Amino acid sequence: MTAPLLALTFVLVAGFLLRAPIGFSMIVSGVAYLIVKGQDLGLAAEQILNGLYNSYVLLAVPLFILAANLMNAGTVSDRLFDFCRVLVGRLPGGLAQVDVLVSVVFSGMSGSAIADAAGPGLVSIKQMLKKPEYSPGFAGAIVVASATIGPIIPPSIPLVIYGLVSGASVGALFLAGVVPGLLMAVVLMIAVHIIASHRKMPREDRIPLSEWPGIFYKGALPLSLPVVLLTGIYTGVFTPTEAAAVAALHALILAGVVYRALSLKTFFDVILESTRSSAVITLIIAGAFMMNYAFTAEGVPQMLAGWVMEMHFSKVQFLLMVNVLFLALGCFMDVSVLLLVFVPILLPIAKVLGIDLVHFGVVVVLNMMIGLIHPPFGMLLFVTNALTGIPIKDMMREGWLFLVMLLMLLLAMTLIPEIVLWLPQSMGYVTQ
Amino acid sequence: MPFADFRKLCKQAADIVGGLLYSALFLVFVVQVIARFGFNQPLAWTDEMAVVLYIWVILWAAAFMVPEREHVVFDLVYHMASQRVRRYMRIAGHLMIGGLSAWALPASWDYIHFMAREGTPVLNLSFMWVFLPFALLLVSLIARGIWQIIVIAYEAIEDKK
Repeated sequence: MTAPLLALTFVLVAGFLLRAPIGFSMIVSGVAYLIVKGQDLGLAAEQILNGLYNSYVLLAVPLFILAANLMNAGTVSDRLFDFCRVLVGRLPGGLAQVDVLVSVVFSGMSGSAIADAAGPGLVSIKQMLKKPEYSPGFAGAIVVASATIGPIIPPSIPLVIYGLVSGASVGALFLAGVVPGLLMAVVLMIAVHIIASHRKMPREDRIPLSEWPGIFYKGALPLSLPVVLLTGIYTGVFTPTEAAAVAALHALILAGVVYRALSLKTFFDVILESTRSSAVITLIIAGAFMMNYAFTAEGVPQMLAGWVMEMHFSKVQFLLMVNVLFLALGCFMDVSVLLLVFVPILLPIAKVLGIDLVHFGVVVVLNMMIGLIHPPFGMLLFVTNALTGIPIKDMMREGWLFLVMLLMLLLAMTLIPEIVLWLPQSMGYVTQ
Repeated sequence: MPFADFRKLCKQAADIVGGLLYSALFLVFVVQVIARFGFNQPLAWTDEMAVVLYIWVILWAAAFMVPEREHVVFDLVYHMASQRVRRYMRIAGHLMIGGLSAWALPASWDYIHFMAREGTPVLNLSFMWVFLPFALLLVSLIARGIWQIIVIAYEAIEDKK
Protein backbone atom coordinates (compact mmCIF):
# COMPACT_ATOMS: atom_id res chain seq x y z
CA MET A 1 0.00 0.00 0.00
CA THR A 2 1.30 3.45 -0.89
CA ALA A 3 1.94 6.09 1.80
CA PRO A 4 -0.97 8.37 0.78
CA LEU A 5 -3.38 5.43 0.81
CA LEU A 6 -2.00 4.41 4.19
CA ALA A 7 -2.68 7.92 5.54
CA LEU A 8 -6.25 7.75 4.25
CA THR A 9 -6.84 4.35 5.84
CA PHE A 10 -5.26 5.48 9.11
CA VAL A 11 -7.46 8.58 9.47
CA LEU A 12 -10.56 6.65 8.45
CA VAL A 13 -9.99 3.83 10.93
CA ALA A 14 -9.00 6.30 13.67
CA GLY A 15 -12.24 8.22 13.03
CA PHE A 16 -14.25 5.01 13.31
CA LEU A 17 -12.55 3.93 16.53
CA LEU A 18 -12.77 7.37 18.16
CA ARG A 19 -16.51 7.53 17.46
CA ALA A 20 -16.15 10.55 15.19
CA PRO A 21 -19.03 11.04 12.71
CA ILE A 22 -18.29 8.69 9.80
CA GLY A 23 -19.13 11.21 7.07
CA PHE A 24 -16.68 13.74 8.49
CA SER A 25 -14.04 11.03 8.96
CA MET A 26 -14.34 10.05 5.31
CA ILE A 27 -13.99 13.65 4.14
CA VAL A 28 -10.92 14.42 6.27
CA SER A 29 -9.33 11.06 5.40
CA GLY A 30 -9.38 12.35 1.82
CA VAL A 31 -7.69 15.53 3.03
CA ALA A 32 -5.00 13.45 4.77
CA TYR A 33 -4.50 11.53 1.51
CA LEU A 34 -3.96 14.77 -0.42
CA ILE A 35 -1.55 16.12 2.23
CA VAL A 36 0.69 13.03 2.11
CA LYS A 37 0.46 12.88 -1.66
CA GLY A 38 1.50 16.56 -1.80
CA GLN A 39 -1.47 17.52 -3.98
CA ASP A 40 -3.62 20.65 -3.91
CA LEU A 41 -5.99 20.37 -0.93
CA GLY A 42 -8.64 22.18 -2.96
CA LEU A 43 -9.14 18.86 -4.76
CA ALA A 44 -11.20 17.67 -1.80
CA ALA A 45 -13.68 20.52 -2.25
CA GLU A 46 -13.65 20.02 -6.01
CA GLN A 47 -14.34 16.26 -5.88
CA ILE A 48 -17.07 16.50 -3.25
CA LEU A 49 -18.85 19.54 -4.69
CA ASN A 50 -18.77 18.36 -8.28
CA GLY A 51 -19.80 14.90 -7.17
CA LEU A 52 -22.87 16.35 -5.49
CA TYR A 53 -23.58 18.78 -8.32
CA ASN A 54 -23.52 16.05 -10.97
CA SER A 55 -25.48 13.37 -9.12
CA TYR A 56 -28.99 14.37 -10.01
CA VAL A 57 -30.31 10.92 -9.12
CA LEU A 58 -29.16 11.50 -5.52
CA LEU A 59 -31.93 14.08 -5.15
CA ALA A 60 -34.31 11.14 -4.85
CA VAL A 61 -32.78 10.47 -1.43
CA PRO A 62 -34.06 13.54 0.49
CA LEU A 63 -37.40 13.30 -1.31
CA PHE A 64 -37.90 9.65 -0.39
CA ILE A 65 -36.91 10.48 3.18
CA LEU A 66 -39.46 13.29 3.23
CA ALA A 67 -42.12 10.95 1.85
CA ALA A 68 -41.35 8.38 4.53
CA ASN A 69 -41.37 10.96 7.34
CA LEU A 70 -44.61 12.49 6.10
CA MET A 71 -46.22 9.07 5.97
CA ASN A 72 -45.02 8.54 9.50
CA ALA A 73 -46.17 11.86 10.95
CA GLY A 74 -49.42 11.59 9.03
CA THR A 75 -50.16 8.18 10.55
CA VAL A 76 -49.82 6.56 7.11
CA SER A 77 -47.24 4.10 8.46
CA ASP A 78 -49.62 3.31 11.34
CA ARG A 79 -52.46 2.61 8.93
CA LEU A 80 -50.25 0.33 6.86
CA PHE A 81 -49.29 -1.29 10.13
CA ASP A 82 -52.97 -1.89 11.04
CA PHE A 83 -53.62 -3.20 7.54
CA CYS A 84 -50.83 -5.76 7.84
CA ARG A 85 -51.82 -6.61 11.41
CA VAL A 86 -55.15 -7.87 10.13
CA LEU A 87 -53.30 -10.10 7.67
CA VAL A 88 -50.53 -11.69 9.78
CA GLY A 89 -50.96 -10.44 13.35
CA ARG A 90 -52.43 -13.73 14.52
CA LEU A 91 -49.20 -15.64 13.91
CA PRO A 92 -46.82 -16.18 16.85
CA GLY A 93 -44.58 -13.11 17.17
CA GLY A 94 -47.31 -11.27 15.30
CA LEU A 95 -45.75 -7.81 15.53
CA ALA A 96 -42.49 -9.02 13.99
CA GLN A 97 -44.41 -10.71 11.16
CA VAL A 98 -46.37 -7.49 10.64
CA ASP A 99 -43.07 -5.60 10.42
CA VAL A 100 -41.84 -7.85 7.59
CA LEU A 101 -45.08 -7.44 5.65
CA VAL A 102 -45.14 -3.65 6.18
CA SER A 103 -41.59 -3.55 4.79
CA VAL A 104 -42.77 -5.32 1.65
CA VAL A 105 -45.62 -2.85 1.14
CA PHE A 106 -43.44 0.14 1.97
CA SER A 107 -40.75 -1.13 -0.44
CA GLY A 108 -43.17 -0.44 -3.24
CA MET A 109 -43.10 3.25 -2.33
CA SER A 110 -39.57 3.81 -1.15
CA GLY A 111 -36.25 3.03 -2.76
CA SER A 112 -34.03 3.08 0.24
CA ALA A 113 -33.47 0.69 3.11
CA ILE A 114 -32.58 3.57 5.42
CA ALA A 115 -35.96 5.24 4.81
CA ASP A 116 -37.69 1.94 5.54
CA ALA A 117 -35.89 1.51 8.85
CA ALA A 118 -36.50 5.16 9.74
CA GLY A 119 -40.17 5.11 8.69
CA PRO A 120 -42.27 1.99 9.24
CA GLY A 121 -39.36 0.29 11.03
CA LEU A 122 -39.58 2.87 13.77
CA VAL A 123 -43.36 2.32 14.07
CA SER A 124 -42.77 -1.44 14.45
CA ILE A 125 -40.03 -0.98 17.05
CA LYS A 126 -42.23 1.31 19.16
CA GLN A 127 -45.08 -1.22 19.02
CA MET A 128 -42.82 -4.16 19.89
CA LEU A 129 -41.17 -2.36 22.81
CA LYS A 130 -44.59 -1.96 24.43
CA LYS A 131 -44.62 -5.71 24.99
CA PRO A 132 -42.03 -7.28 27.30
CA GLU A 133 -41.81 -10.48 25.21
CA TYR A 134 -39.94 -8.58 22.49
CA SER A 135 -36.43 -7.65 23.55
CA PRO A 136 -35.09 -4.35 22.14
CA GLY A 137 -32.32 -6.29 20.39
CA PHE A 138 -34.83 -8.56 18.63
CA ALA A 139 -37.06 -5.63 17.64
CA GLY A 140 -34.08 -3.78 16.17
CA ALA A 141 -32.77 -6.91 14.45
CA ILE A 142 -36.00 -7.78 12.60
CA VAL A 143 -36.50 -4.15 11.59
CA VAL A 144 -33.03 -3.81 10.05
CA ALA A 145 -33.31 -7.24 8.41
CA SER A 146 -36.69 -6.46 6.84
CA ALA A 147 -35.54 -2.98 5.79
CA THR A 148 -33.12 -4.63 3.35
CA ILE A 149 -36.15 -5.60 1.24
CA GLY A 150 -36.66 -1.89 0.40
CA PRO A 151 -34.13 -1.51 -2.41
CA ILE A 152 -34.78 -4.99 -3.86
CA ILE A 153 -38.50 -4.51 -4.50
CA PRO A 154 -38.84 -1.56 -6.90
CA PRO A 155 -38.48 1.38 -6.89
CA SER A 156 -34.86 1.13 -5.87
CA ILE A 157 -32.13 3.75 -5.78
CA PRO A 158 -29.22 1.26 -5.86
CA LEU A 159 -30.72 -0.53 -8.89
CA VAL A 160 -31.09 2.80 -10.72
CA ILE A 161 -27.44 3.61 -10.05
CA TYR A 162 -26.44 0.10 -11.16
CA GLY A 163 -28.48 0.59 -14.34
CA LEU A 164 -26.53 3.77 -15.07
CA VAL A 165 -23.17 2.08 -14.44
CA SER A 166 -23.85 -1.15 -16.34
CA GLY A 167 -26.16 -0.03 -19.12
CA ALA A 168 -28.66 -2.73 -18.12
CA SER A 169 -32.31 -1.78 -18.51
CA VAL A 170 -33.69 -0.19 -15.35
CA GLY A 171 -37.16 -1.56 -16.15
CA ALA A 172 -35.78 -5.12 -16.38
CA LEU A 173 -33.79 -4.61 -13.19
CA PHE A 174 -36.91 -3.44 -11.36
CA LEU A 175 -38.92 -6.43 -12.57
CA ALA A 176 -36.04 -8.73 -11.61
CA GLY A 177 -36.18 -7.42 -8.04
CA VAL A 178 -39.80 -8.41 -7.42
CA VAL A 179 -39.43 -12.18 -6.90
CA PRO A 180 -36.21 -11.98 -4.82
CA GLY A 181 -37.81 -9.25 -2.68
CA LEU A 182 -40.85 -11.41 -1.97
CA LEU A 183 -38.60 -14.41 -1.23
CA MET A 184 -36.68 -12.29 1.28
CA ALA A 185 -39.94 -11.62 3.06
CA VAL A 186 -40.76 -15.34 3.06
CA VAL A 187 -37.42 -16.44 4.54
CA LEU A 188 -37.55 -13.70 7.18
CA MET A 189 -41.08 -14.69 8.13
CA ILE A 190 -39.94 -18.30 8.50
CA ALA A 191 -37.07 -17.13 10.74
CA VAL A 192 -39.45 -15.03 12.85
CA HIS A 193 -41.80 -18.01 13.13
CA ILE A 194 -38.99 -20.25 14.39
CA ILE A 195 -37.81 -17.72 16.98
CA ALA A 196 -41.33 -16.70 18.04
CA SER A 197 -42.51 -20.29 18.53
CA HIS A 198 -39.38 -21.10 20.49
CA ARG A 199 -39.66 -18.05 22.76
CA LYS A 200 -43.45 -18.16 23.01
CA MET A 201 -43.89 -14.65 21.65
CA PRO A 202 -47.47 -13.34 21.78
CA ARG A 203 -50.03 -13.36 18.96
CA GLU A 204 -51.94 -10.12 18.40
CA ASP A 205 -55.55 -9.91 19.53
CA ARG A 206 -58.15 -10.90 17.01
CA ILE A 207 -59.54 -7.87 15.19
CA PRO A 208 -63.35 -7.99 14.89
CA LEU A 209 -64.59 -8.61 11.35
CA SER A 210 -66.70 -5.46 11.48
CA GLU A 211 -63.51 -3.32 11.66
CA TRP A 212 -61.89 -4.94 8.63
CA PRO A 213 -63.50 -2.83 5.88
CA GLY A 214 -62.44 0.44 7.57
CA ILE A 215 -58.86 -0.75 8.04
CA PHE A 216 -58.64 -2.03 4.47
CA TYR A 217 -60.07 1.20 3.11
CA LYS A 218 -57.56 3.33 5.01
CA GLY A 219 -54.70 0.99 4.09
CA ALA A 220 -55.67 0.93 0.43
CA LEU A 221 -55.11 4.67 -0.04
CA PRO A 222 -51.38 4.54 0.65
CA LEU A 223 -51.24 1.33 -1.40
CA SER A 224 -52.35 3.28 -4.47
CA LEU A 225 -48.96 5.02 -4.50
CA PRO A 226 -46.79 2.06 -5.54
CA VAL A 227 -49.13 1.46 -8.45
CA VAL A 228 -48.77 5.05 -9.66
CA LEU A 229 -45.00 5.08 -9.10
CA LEU A 230 -44.28 1.77 -10.77
CA THR A 231 -46.46 2.49 -13.77
CA GLY A 232 -44.79 5.90 -14.08
CA ILE A 233 -41.26 4.52 -13.90
CA TYR A 234 -41.89 1.45 -16.12
CA THR A 235 -43.52 3.46 -18.84
CA GLY A 236 -40.72 6.00 -18.59
CA VAL A 237 -43.04 8.87 -17.70
CA PHE A 238 -41.19 9.70 -14.48
CA THR A 239 -37.49 9.84 -13.81
CA PRO A 240 -36.77 8.08 -10.52
CA THR A 241 -36.17 11.49 -8.91
CA GLU A 242 -39.53 12.81 -10.06
CA ALA A 243 -41.13 9.62 -8.81
CA ALA A 244 -39.64 10.41 -5.41
CA ALA A 245 -41.15 13.91 -5.57
CA VAL A 246 -44.53 12.45 -6.51
CA ALA A 247 -44.24 10.05 -3.57
CA ALA A 248 -43.58 12.95 -1.19
CA LEU A 249 -46.45 14.96 -2.62
CA HIS A 250 -48.76 11.94 -2.39
CA ALA A 251 -47.77 11.45 1.26
CA LEU A 252 -48.33 15.14 1.97
CA ILE A 253 -51.82 15.07 0.47
CA LEU A 254 -52.72 11.85 2.30
CA ALA A 255 -51.41 13.04 5.65
CA GLY A 256 -52.54 16.66 5.42
CA VAL A 257 -55.77 16.55 3.45
CA VAL A 258 -57.18 13.02 3.63
CA TYR A 259 -56.26 11.94 7.15
CA ARG A 260 -55.98 15.50 8.52
CA ALA A 261 -53.20 14.30 10.77
CA LEU A 262 -50.70 17.05 10.00
CA SER A 263 -50.61 20.46 11.66
CA LEU A 264 -48.38 23.24 10.35
CA LYS A 265 -46.10 22.78 13.35
CA THR A 266 -45.80 19.02 12.74
CA PHE A 267 -45.15 19.70 9.08
CA PHE A 268 -42.24 22.00 9.85
CA ASP A 269 -40.87 19.49 12.36
CA VAL A 270 -41.04 16.82 9.67
CA ILE A 271 -39.17 19.14 7.31
CA LEU A 272 -36.44 19.73 9.90
CA GLU A 273 -36.14 16.05 10.70
CA SER A 274 -35.94 15.16 7.00
CA THR A 275 -33.33 17.86 6.46
CA ARG A 276 -31.15 16.45 9.20
CA SER A 277 -31.47 12.79 8.11
CA SER A 278 -30.82 13.71 4.48
CA ALA A 279 -27.70 15.58 5.54
CA VAL A 280 -26.40 12.70 7.64
CA ILE A 281 -26.78 10.22 4.79
CA THR A 282 -25.60 12.49 1.98
CA LEU A 283 -22.56 13.50 4.01
CA ILE A 284 -21.38 9.89 3.80
CA ILE A 285 -21.96 9.87 0.04
CA ALA A 286 -19.95 13.12 -0.14
CA GLY A 287 -17.14 11.41 1.76
CA ALA A 288 -17.41 8.49 -0.67
CA PHE A 289 -16.79 10.84 -3.62
CA MET A 290 -13.49 11.87 -2.05
CA MET A 291 -12.44 8.32 -1.24
CA ASN A 292 -13.54 7.21 -4.67
CA TYR A 293 -11.14 9.77 -6.15
CA ALA A 294 -8.27 8.52 -3.99
CA PHE A 295 -8.91 4.84 -4.82
CA THR A 296 -9.11 5.56 -8.54
CA ALA A 297 -5.95 7.70 -8.47
CA GLU A 298 -4.07 4.92 -6.66
CA GLY A 299 -5.26 2.31 -9.16
CA VAL A 300 -6.95 0.15 -6.54
CA PRO A 301 -9.66 -1.00 -8.99
CA GLN A 302 -7.13 -2.01 -11.67
CA MET A 303 -5.07 -3.90 -9.11
CA LEU A 304 -8.11 -5.90 -8.06
CA ALA A 305 -9.23 -6.55 -11.63
CA GLY A 306 -5.80 -7.82 -12.64
CA TRP A 307 -5.76 -10.13 -9.67
CA VAL A 308 -9.20 -11.51 -10.52
CA MET A 309 -8.31 -12.15 -14.18
CA GLU A 310 -5.20 -14.12 -13.18
CA MET A 311 -7.34 -16.57 -11.24
CA HIS A 312 -9.19 -17.94 -14.34
CA PHE A 313 -12.54 -18.30 -12.64
CA SER A 314 -15.60 -20.13 -13.97
CA LYS A 315 -18.94 -18.31 -14.01
CA VAL A 316 -20.11 -19.72 -10.69
CA GLN A 317 -16.72 -19.38 -9.03
CA PHE A 318 -16.58 -15.75 -10.14
CA LEU A 319 -20.05 -14.97 -8.78
CA LEU A 320 -19.25 -16.67 -5.48
CA MET A 321 -15.99 -14.78 -5.27
CA VAL A 322 -17.78 -11.50 -6.00
CA ASN A 323 -20.20 -12.29 -3.19
CA VAL A 324 -17.44 -12.98 -0.69
CA LEU A 325 -15.56 -9.89 -1.83
CA PHE A 326 -18.57 -7.59 -1.55
CA LEU A 327 -19.65 -8.99 1.79
CA ALA A 328 -16.15 -8.22 3.04
CA LEU A 329 -15.98 -4.76 1.44
CA GLY A 330 -19.51 -4.04 2.64
CA CYS A 331 -18.07 -4.19 6.16
CA PHE A 332 -16.43 -0.83 5.78
CA MET A 333 -17.64 0.77 2.58
CA ASP A 334 -20.84 2.50 1.66
CA VAL A 335 -23.18 1.07 -0.97
CA SER A 336 -22.49 4.04 -3.25
CA VAL A 337 -18.73 3.42 -3.12
CA LEU A 338 -19.21 -0.25 -3.93
CA LEU A 339 -21.59 0.57 -6.77
CA LEU A 340 -19.56 3.39 -8.25
CA VAL A 341 -16.01 2.12 -7.70
CA PHE A 342 -16.00 -1.67 -7.55
CA VAL A 343 -18.91 -2.72 -9.74
CA PRO A 344 -17.49 -1.00 -12.86
CA ILE A 345 -14.25 -3.01 -12.48
CA LEU A 346 -16.10 -6.28 -12.26
CA LEU A 347 -18.58 -5.63 -15.07
CA PRO A 348 -16.17 -6.33 -17.96
CA ILE A 349 -15.20 -9.65 -16.37
CA ALA A 350 -18.87 -10.55 -15.86
CA LYS A 351 -19.54 -9.79 -19.53
CA VAL A 352 -16.59 -11.93 -20.69
CA LEU A 353 -17.84 -14.82 -18.57
CA GLY A 354 -21.33 -14.49 -20.09
CA ILE A 355 -23.10 -13.54 -16.86
CA ASP A 356 -26.40 -11.75 -17.42
CA LEU A 357 -26.07 -8.15 -16.26
CA VAL A 358 -29.55 -8.01 -14.73
CA HIS A 359 -28.84 -11.17 -12.73
CA PHE A 360 -25.47 -9.77 -11.70
CA GLY A 361 -27.02 -6.45 -10.64
CA VAL A 362 -29.72 -7.91 -8.42
CA VAL A 363 -27.26 -10.35 -6.79
CA VAL A 364 -24.78 -7.56 -6.12
CA VAL A 365 -27.43 -5.21 -4.70
CA LEU A 366 -28.87 -7.91 -2.43
CA ASN A 367 -25.33 -8.61 -1.29
CA MET A 368 -24.86 -4.93 -0.47
CA MET A 369 -28.12 -4.85 1.44
CA ILE A 370 -26.87 -7.75 3.55
CA GLY A 371 -23.71 -5.67 4.00
CA LEU A 372 -25.89 -2.98 5.56
CA ILE A 373 -26.85 -5.30 8.41
CA HIS A 374 -23.83 -7.47 9.02
CA PRO A 375 -21.24 -6.65 11.62
CA PRO A 376 -19.03 -4.77 12.20
CA PHE A 377 -20.00 -1.76 10.06
CA GLY A 378 -23.63 -2.16 8.97
CA MET A 379 -25.13 1.19 8.04
CA LEU A 380 -28.67 0.11 8.91
CA LEU A 381 -27.49 -0.93 12.34
CA PHE A 382 -25.99 2.54 12.82
CA VAL A 383 -29.13 4.31 11.67
CA THR A 384 -31.46 2.23 13.81
CA ASN A 385 -29.14 2.71 16.75
CA ALA A 386 -29.16 6.48 16.17
CA LEU A 387 -32.97 6.57 15.95
CA THR A 388 -33.87 4.27 18.84
CA GLY A 389 -30.81 3.99 21.05
CA ILE A 390 -30.91 0.17 20.84
CA PRO A 391 -27.25 -0.91 21.20
CA ILE A 392 -25.72 -2.35 18.04
CA LYS A 393 -24.30 -5.37 19.84
CA ASP A 394 -27.81 -6.38 21.02
CA MET A 395 -29.13 -6.22 17.45
CA MET A 396 -26.17 -8.31 16.27
CA ARG A 397 -26.75 -10.92 18.96
CA GLU A 398 -30.45 -11.25 18.16
CA GLY A 399 -30.16 -10.95 14.41
CA TRP A 400 -27.89 -13.81 13.40
CA LEU A 401 -30.68 -16.11 12.20
CA PHE A 402 -32.06 -13.39 9.88
CA LEU A 403 -28.57 -12.88 8.53
CA VAL A 404 -28.11 -16.61 7.89
CA MET A 405 -31.49 -16.83 6.11
CA LEU A 406 -30.69 -13.90 3.84
CA LEU A 407 -27.24 -15.32 3.07
CA MET A 408 -28.82 -18.64 2.08
CA LEU A 409 -31.21 -16.80 -0.24
CA LEU A 410 -28.28 -14.88 -1.72
CA LEU A 411 -26.49 -18.17 -2.39
CA ALA A 412 -29.61 -19.63 -4.04
CA MET A 413 -29.99 -16.54 -6.26
CA THR A 414 -26.32 -16.71 -7.20
CA LEU A 415 -26.50 -20.36 -8.23
CA ILE A 416 -29.98 -20.28 -9.84
CA PRO A 417 -30.27 -17.20 -12.11
CA GLU A 418 -33.88 -18.14 -12.94
CA ILE A 419 -35.05 -16.89 -9.52
CA VAL A 420 -34.04 -13.41 -10.64
CA LEU A 421 -34.60 -13.66 -14.38
CA TRP A 422 -37.89 -15.55 -14.55
CA LEU A 423 -40.19 -12.53 -14.19
CA PRO A 424 -38.36 -10.13 -16.55
CA GLN A 425 -38.02 -12.94 -19.12
CA SER A 426 -41.68 -13.77 -18.96
CA MET A 427 -42.37 -10.07 -19.60
CA GLY A 428 -40.19 -10.08 -22.68
CA TYR A 429 -36.68 -9.32 -21.41
CA VAL A 430 -34.06 -11.15 -23.51
CA THR A 431 -31.02 -12.36 -21.55
CA GLN A 432 -27.54 -11.91 -23.01
CA MET B 1 -28.57 38.28 26.93
CA PRO B 2 -27.35 35.13 28.74
CA PHE B 3 -25.08 32.88 26.68
CA ALA B 4 -27.50 29.92 26.77
CA ASP B 5 -30.29 32.03 25.24
CA PHE B 6 -27.95 33.28 22.56
CA ARG B 7 -27.03 29.70 21.61
CA LYS B 8 -30.69 28.71 21.47
CA LEU B 9 -31.46 31.65 19.22
CA CYS B 10 -28.61 30.73 16.84
CA LYS B 11 -29.83 27.13 16.74
CA GLN B 12 -33.37 28.27 15.89
CA ALA B 13 -32.11 30.59 13.18
CA ALA B 14 -30.03 27.77 11.66
CA ASP B 15 -33.07 25.47 11.75
CA ILE B 16 -35.32 28.02 10.08
CA VAL B 17 -32.83 28.68 7.27
CA GLY B 18 -32.29 24.94 6.72
CA GLY B 19 -36.01 24.19 6.87
CA LEU B 20 -36.82 26.92 4.37
CA LEU B 21 -34.10 25.73 1.98
CA TYR B 22 -35.46 22.19 2.17
CA SER B 23 -39.05 23.36 1.66
CA ALA B 24 -37.88 25.33 -1.36
CA LEU B 25 -36.21 22.19 -2.75
CA PHE B 26 -39.45 20.25 -2.41
CA LEU B 27 -41.45 23.11 -3.91
CA VAL B 28 -39.16 23.32 -6.94
CA PHE B 29 -39.85 19.65 -7.59
CA VAL B 30 -43.57 20.10 -7.21
CA VAL B 31 -43.42 22.94 -9.75
CA GLN B 32 -41.36 20.77 -12.10
CA VAL B 33 -43.74 17.81 -11.89
CA ILE B 34 -46.82 20.00 -12.35
CA ALA B 35 -45.27 21.86 -15.27
CA ARG B 36 -44.29 18.63 -16.99
CA PHE B 37 -47.29 16.47 -16.35
CA GLY B 38 -49.97 19.07 -15.76
CA PHE B 39 -49.12 21.50 -18.55
CA ASN B 40 -46.75 19.40 -20.66
CA GLN B 41 -44.20 22.23 -20.44
CA PRO B 42 -40.86 20.95 -19.12
CA LEU B 43 -38.92 23.70 -17.32
CA ALA B 44 -35.15 24.05 -17.69
CA TRP B 45 -34.43 25.98 -14.52
CA THR B 46 -36.05 23.61 -12.02
CA ASP B 47 -33.48 20.81 -12.39
CA GLU B 48 -30.63 23.22 -11.87
CA MET B 49 -32.29 25.07 -9.01
CA ALA B 50 -33.01 21.74 -7.28
CA VAL B 51 -29.36 20.67 -7.42
CA VAL B 52 -28.15 24.04 -6.09
CA LEU B 53 -30.66 23.95 -3.24
CA TYR B 54 -29.71 20.35 -2.56
CA ILE B 55 -26.02 21.24 -2.07
CA TRP B 56 -27.01 24.10 0.24
CA VAL B 57 -29.46 22.03 2.27
CA ILE B 58 -27.07 19.12 2.81
CA LEU B 59 -23.98 21.13 3.69
CA TRP B 60 -25.86 23.76 5.71
CA ALA B 61 -27.58 21.09 7.76
CA ALA B 62 -24.35 19.14 8.24
CA ALA B 63 -22.63 22.35 9.39
CA PHE B 64 -25.25 23.90 11.66
CA MET B 65 -28.24 21.64 12.26
CA VAL B 66 -27.24 18.05 12.93
CA PRO B 67 -26.28 17.46 16.59
CA GLU B 68 -23.40 15.12 17.38
CA ARG B 69 -25.70 12.32 18.60
CA GLU B 70 -27.61 12.12 15.30
CA HIS B 71 -24.53 11.44 13.21
CA VAL B 72 -23.70 7.98 11.99
CA VAL B 73 -20.93 6.72 14.25
CA PHE B 74 -19.23 3.44 15.06
CA ASP B 75 -19.47 3.16 18.82
CA LEU B 76 -18.49 -0.41 19.74
CA VAL B 77 -15.01 0.56 20.93
CA TYR B 78 -16.21 3.76 22.59
CA HIS B 79 -18.73 1.86 24.69
CA MET B 80 -16.01 -0.46 25.97
CA ALA B 81 -13.82 2.41 27.17
CA SER B 82 -13.82 3.95 30.66
CA GLN B 83 -15.12 7.47 31.28
CA ARG B 84 -11.58 8.84 31.33
CA VAL B 85 -10.51 7.12 28.13
CA ARG B 86 -13.72 8.28 26.42
CA ARG B 87 -12.76 11.88 27.11
CA TYR B 88 -9.36 11.39 25.51
CA MET B 89 -11.03 9.66 22.55
CA ARG B 90 -13.43 12.55 22.01
CA ILE B 91 -10.63 15.12 22.25
CA ALA B 92 -8.53 13.12 19.76
CA GLY B 93 -11.50 12.83 17.39
CA HIS B 94 -12.22 16.57 17.47
CA LEU B 95 -8.52 17.38 17.05
CA MET B 96 -8.32 15.15 14.00
CA ILE B 97 -11.51 16.35 12.27
CA GLY B 98 -11.13 20.01 13.26
CA GLY B 99 -7.39 20.04 12.53
CA LEU B 100 -7.63 18.49 9.08
CA SER B 101 -10.58 20.77 8.26
CA ALA B 102 -8.46 23.78 9.22
CA TRP B 103 -5.63 22.44 7.07
CA ALA B 104 -7.97 22.07 4.09
CA LEU B 105 -9.82 25.39 4.55
CA PRO B 106 -7.48 27.84 2.72
CA ALA B 107 -7.12 25.67 -0.40
CA SER B 108 -10.86 24.87 -0.39
CA TRP B 109 -11.69 28.56 -0.21
CA ASP B 110 -9.25 29.21 -3.09
CA TYR B 111 -11.10 26.66 -5.19
CA ILE B 112 -14.55 28.01 -4.30
CA HIS B 113 -13.43 31.59 -4.90
CA PHE B 114 -11.83 30.57 -8.20
CA MET B 115 -15.16 29.12 -9.34
CA ALA B 116 -16.72 32.61 -9.14
CA ARG B 117 -15.79 33.10 -12.80
CA GLU B 118 -18.07 30.26 -13.92
CA GLY B 119 -21.85 30.33 -13.87
CA THR B 120 -24.45 27.55 -13.93
CA PRO B 121 -25.72 26.83 -17.49
CA VAL B 122 -29.34 27.96 -17.18
CA LEU B 123 -29.59 30.47 -14.34
CA ASN B 124 -26.02 31.76 -14.70
CA LEU B 125 -25.61 31.60 -10.94
CA SER B 126 -21.96 32.00 -9.90
CA PHE B 127 -20.50 28.67 -8.77
CA MET B 128 -18.90 30.48 -5.87
CA TRP B 129 -22.36 30.89 -4.39
CA VAL B 130 -23.33 27.33 -5.26
CA PHE B 131 -20.24 25.88 -3.56
CA LEU B 132 -19.96 28.35 -0.65
CA PRO B 133 -21.61 26.09 1.98
CA PHE B 134 -18.64 23.69 1.80
CA ALA B 135 -16.46 26.44 3.28
CA LEU B 136 -19.13 27.05 5.93
CA LEU B 137 -19.03 23.34 6.78
CA LEU B 138 -15.25 23.38 7.26
CA VAL B 139 -15.47 26.51 9.43
CA SER B 140 -18.17 24.91 11.55
CA LEU B 141 -16.09 21.73 11.98
CA ILE B 142 -13.13 23.81 13.19
CA ALA B 143 -15.31 25.86 15.56
CA ARG B 144 -17.12 22.79 16.84
CA GLY B 145 -13.81 21.02 17.50
CA ILE B 146 -12.40 23.93 19.51
CA TRP B 147 -15.63 24.42 21.46
CA GLN B 148 -16.06 20.72 22.27
CA ILE B 149 -12.45 20.37 23.46
CA ILE B 150 -12.99 23.32 25.82
CA VAL B 151 -16.22 21.77 27.12
CA ILE B 152 -14.61 18.36 27.65
CA ALA B 153 -11.64 19.90 29.45
CA TYR B 154 -13.99 21.94 31.64
CA GLU B 155 -16.01 18.83 32.53
CA ALA B 156 -12.85 16.97 33.44
CA ILE B 157 -11.69 19.77 35.76
CA GLU B 158 -15.15 20.03 37.37
CA ASP B 159 -15.21 16.27 38.00
CA LYS B 160 -11.87 16.40 39.80
CA LYS B 161 -13.10 18.98 42.29
